[in-house]
Amino acid sequence: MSRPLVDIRLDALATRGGVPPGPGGVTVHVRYGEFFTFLGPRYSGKTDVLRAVAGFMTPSAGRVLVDGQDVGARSPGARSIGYVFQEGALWEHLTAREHVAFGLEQQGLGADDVRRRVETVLARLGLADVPDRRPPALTLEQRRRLALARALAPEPRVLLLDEPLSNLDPALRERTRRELRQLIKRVGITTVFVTHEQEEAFDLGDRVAVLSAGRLEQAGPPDDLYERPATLFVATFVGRANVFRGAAARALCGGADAGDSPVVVRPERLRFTDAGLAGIVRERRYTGASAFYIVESDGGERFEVLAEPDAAKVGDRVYVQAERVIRFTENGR
Amino acid sequence: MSRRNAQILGAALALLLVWLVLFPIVVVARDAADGTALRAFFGRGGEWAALWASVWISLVSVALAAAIGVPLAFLFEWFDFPGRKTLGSLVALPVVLPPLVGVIAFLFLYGESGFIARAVQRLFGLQEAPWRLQGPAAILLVHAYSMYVYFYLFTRAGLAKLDVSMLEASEALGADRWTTIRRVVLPLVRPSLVGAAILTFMTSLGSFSAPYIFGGGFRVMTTQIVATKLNGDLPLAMVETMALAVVAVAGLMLLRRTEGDDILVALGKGIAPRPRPIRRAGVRALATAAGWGFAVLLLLPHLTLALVSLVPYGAWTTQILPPVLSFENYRRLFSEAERLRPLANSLWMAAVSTAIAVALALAAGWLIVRRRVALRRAIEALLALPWALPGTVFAIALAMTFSVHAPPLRWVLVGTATILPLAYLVRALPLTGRALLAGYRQLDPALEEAAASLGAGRWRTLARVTLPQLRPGLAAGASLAFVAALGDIVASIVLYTYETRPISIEILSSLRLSETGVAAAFGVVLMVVSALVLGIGARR
Repeated sequence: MSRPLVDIRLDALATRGGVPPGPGGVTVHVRYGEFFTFLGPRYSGKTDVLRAVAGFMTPSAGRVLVDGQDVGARSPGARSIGYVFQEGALWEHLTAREHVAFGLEQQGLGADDVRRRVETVLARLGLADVPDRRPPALTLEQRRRLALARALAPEPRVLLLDEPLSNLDPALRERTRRELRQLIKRVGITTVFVTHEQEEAFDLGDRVAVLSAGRLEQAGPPDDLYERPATLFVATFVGRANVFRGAAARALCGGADAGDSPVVVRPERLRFTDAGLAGIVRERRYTGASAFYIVESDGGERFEVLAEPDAAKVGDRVYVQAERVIRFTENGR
Repeated sequence: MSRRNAQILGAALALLLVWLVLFPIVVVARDAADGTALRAFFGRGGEWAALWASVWISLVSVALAAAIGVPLAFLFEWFDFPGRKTLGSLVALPVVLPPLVGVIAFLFLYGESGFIARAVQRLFGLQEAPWRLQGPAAILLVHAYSMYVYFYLFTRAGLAKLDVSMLEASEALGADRWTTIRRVVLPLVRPSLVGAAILTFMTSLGSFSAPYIFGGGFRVMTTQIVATKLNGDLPLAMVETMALAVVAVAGLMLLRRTEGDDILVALGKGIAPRPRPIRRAGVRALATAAGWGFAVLLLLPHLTLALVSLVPYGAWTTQILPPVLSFENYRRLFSEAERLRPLANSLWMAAVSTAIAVALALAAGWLIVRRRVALRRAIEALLALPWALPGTVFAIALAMTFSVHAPPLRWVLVGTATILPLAYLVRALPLTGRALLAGYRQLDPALEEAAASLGAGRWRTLARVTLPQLRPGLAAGASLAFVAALGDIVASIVLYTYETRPISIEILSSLRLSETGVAAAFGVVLMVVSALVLGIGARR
């Protein structure tokens, strides 16, 4: 399949009428052929962004540009998008073959063409043995692939995925994620993906945009978000983070005056040494290769340190130093 | 479609419904405000007696139906014994008997010249029939027979939703079986019980066939209204109609209050208790025998009807069982044009009214659930309104409203072929409306969005995705509406003309001519068609 790659620009996009508060003024540029992820907690407006791109929802402000053209006035069917719904939204009364053929028939293809392309798509997505089954007779995994097959069959310019892996169990999810990424890269299609799971976002997305309460907090490659979070929200939502203020923050910054602004340190960036922030180990959570130590500082702050399994015992008095701190201005930005 | 267009459509639908279901009631209410008629109503003891009879008959019907239906539901849902599955579905059989058909079956079976009475008479060598099937007892017998099914089905559905862990939790805390039923099970199935009670009360309050055939001198409000109207005292009929409407609404509101405000949601995994086998051989045999005996009792009216339909005119005089059986009655029914007409009438009128009721409900579901138009609450209430009032009320209201020429709201439709389908349509709206609204509410919007994103237009999405998904609810609502229209007597007896007479009217006139065989044959046809349609409607 070779189709021209397109880019998507969201220009100050805002919606109303979905789950409040909804996105308010989101501007991002999804590049040609990119796998772009929107990451955010519930009610962050991430699904509304996707629905506005698909045309299921009319923006209250801003524009959606696909390949440089404003698609705001077009119906969902005229936008050349493939949409994969959270629960699949498969039609229980149609067979796998009929699902895949549905979009092709809308394009006015002849019956022979439709049949050939349905076979191709079913084979590519590993559904060749079950073309005449209806969704209730398919496994969860097959249903997920059918949802993808239905969306990809008409060769859309853009693929939109709304938490397609959320109902899989963790063990299956990791394998499925890898397959999904390989398939989409092979097809070569500009993809926008929505999830509330950081691990999934990092694993899949070329770039990730973090949304909170309808606002775009930061967009960039996963490493950037983790190592150089733009806001306190991103720092704490993306990965584990200890937030320090006041005296503890000063102690970790090597005595440099940080003012009242918060300081964030990742657990793996804290080390037990013989001097620094003093405290007592209150809990130890063993994970096998390493252990998390919950330390309570003399000032009463609790934080996590990731270290060797035998680095300390509960009740030990320890001193902690930071290898790398992330600083913020006073309001957390 | 734009938001504005949807709003306009919503307003148009609301207006149409106001005209169809509210306006006729308003017309009756206005006509009932007549000094002489009001004085006559409040002054006569007979009027109060009829009103009170309607109320107490309905209350006792609820009690009887519950007394039969609830224990049966527990028996079939919780215990296992030979034949449980077959019997469990046989027990719902009274549903396929349209009201009038059930009543004539009872007449042939338990009436003074019915099988049972003849047998008793012969057995004891009596000169006269041992009893007369008449008055309140006869009405209650028919009501109990036909309405316990509501309690049976509702309670079984409620019990099936119970989680076994809730019962186990009670037992683990030391409660015995009866305490568990009283403290845990009954409160949890209360919504089902209240639902059944409301349905039974409303059906019984609107019941016409049983009081009409068995009432004799005993009048309830529905028969009283029709009698007054036939006597030509229209203002008094209006007052009576309004009185019945007020009682219906008051009863509905009182029963609703017992439902309580708390919404009981079954927590847990929702695994219903498995039916327990009855272990003691003696008890099992007893339960099985009682079950089959009961099934035979339930089937007797159906069998009676079938048997009587095979008796040629005048062939059966004093014998216990008819001496000659033939298909003569059916032959006449299907070969004589005048006898075929009521059948054709009923079929086309039921089909047309059902089709329109489905179309309106479909539009209402879309406007209310998908487009959330401003008037959505009004539309939903208007769709449900005909259910809250007995059929006689609407029959009289339509008869009054559409016997006057005053366009654009009133035309003379009484006496035309339009009025009966219109009356059936009004009665069908709550059935199709409820089914399709529920269907639309359960329908994930993503299913339609998926079709839209693949390029399907509105109509194609409707045909390929929405309608197939709504099919179970649509079929259930449509089949109920069709069967109700097919067997209707309440509206028909007020509004029919000779040309448009439906089956039920033909059954009554056959009875009057003592052509019991033909009446029974019509009853069998009605029963079979109803059963087929309900069977199709219930298929998943």
